[in-house]
Amino acid sequence: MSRLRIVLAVFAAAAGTIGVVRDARALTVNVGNGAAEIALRVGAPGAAISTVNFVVAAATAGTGAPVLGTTNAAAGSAQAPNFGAACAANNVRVWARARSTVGNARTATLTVNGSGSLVSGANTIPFTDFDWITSGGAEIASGAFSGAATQNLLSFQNSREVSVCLRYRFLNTTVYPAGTYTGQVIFNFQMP
Amino acid sequence: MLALCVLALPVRSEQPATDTVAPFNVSARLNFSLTYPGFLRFRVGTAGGTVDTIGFTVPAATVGSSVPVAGTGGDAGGSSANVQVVGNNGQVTITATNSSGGLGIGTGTASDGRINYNQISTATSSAQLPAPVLTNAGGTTVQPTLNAPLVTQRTAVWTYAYLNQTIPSAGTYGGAVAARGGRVTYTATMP
Repeated sequence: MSRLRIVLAVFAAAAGTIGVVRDARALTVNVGNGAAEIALRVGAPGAAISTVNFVVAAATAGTGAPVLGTTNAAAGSAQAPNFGAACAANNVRVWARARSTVGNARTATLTVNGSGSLVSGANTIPFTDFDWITSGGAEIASGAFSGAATQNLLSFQNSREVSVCLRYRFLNTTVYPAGTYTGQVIFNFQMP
Repeated sequence: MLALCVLALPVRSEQPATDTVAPFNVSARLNFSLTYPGFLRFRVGTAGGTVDTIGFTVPAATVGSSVPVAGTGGDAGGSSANVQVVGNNGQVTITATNSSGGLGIGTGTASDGRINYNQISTATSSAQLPAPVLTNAGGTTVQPTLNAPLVTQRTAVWTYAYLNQTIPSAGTYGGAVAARGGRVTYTATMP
């Protein structure tokens, strides 16, 4: 393990005794050079996969009035220690951290695969009918699923930790057959 | 000979998912669930509770001349009405009935006689949303063209005209008094 040592010595000279050292304090900061690592969280921490739910009202189905998604509090819970406040209600937290070793800068990239569809029997709704509003953090701007398998969301040079809160919406511009539709998007975080 | 193959699969069993081996690769999933209702929306004329009235005034000089007479009062201007049908559970059928009990449009006085509904024509602006032919008996139907399996989303303008092919007695026929037989009700149904 290599260490970076910073030694700060503060000398105080008493008035009238210039040149005479009367006191000294020292501060040492050690920055550990740990192994490279990436980490990703989307939604609730733990093994469960978070779900965003949408319920379309019959009176407004297909009118273009966006329908806000809901989810549980765990999906937007705090990510300690640097993001200690929970997201606003019904938001999904997307958190990513990339760290590399000293002198080995690398670029980490977060993508999402929204190329699939929500399915109900033989009927489908593409993920391009959904967007999100960013309510916390700025690294991922408000946007919509493009339908691409590797839609770029953010990239940065390590070492860095980012977190955003996203509120998903169903755009509701098309009429679909009745049913309960389910689907899944996959976020992927990579670093060479 | 022994061959070993190691696949670098993204790590995603627990969140936050971490990876400490280059090339680094982790993934996380997010589920979406959407409940979409079955519904049927149908409108002829002004949206809401208003019942529009299409009025025709026949000049004395052309009574019975077979020169069609345009009306007024439609929400799409003149004798035209906006029509919209949206549904998502199969073929929609639109049926026209009327309040005349099969007799045609009257003045409220039996001795004045009746005007047959076959004197009222209806033209549509869209072949995908045709208009039912009006008859004294009622019950005529049309079926708008499906946009996709199970889904109908059509709009049109239906334009009415008085065909003026007969010579009825003078008077005001139909109107807001349903008993005079001048009210047409369109009903949309879907499986």
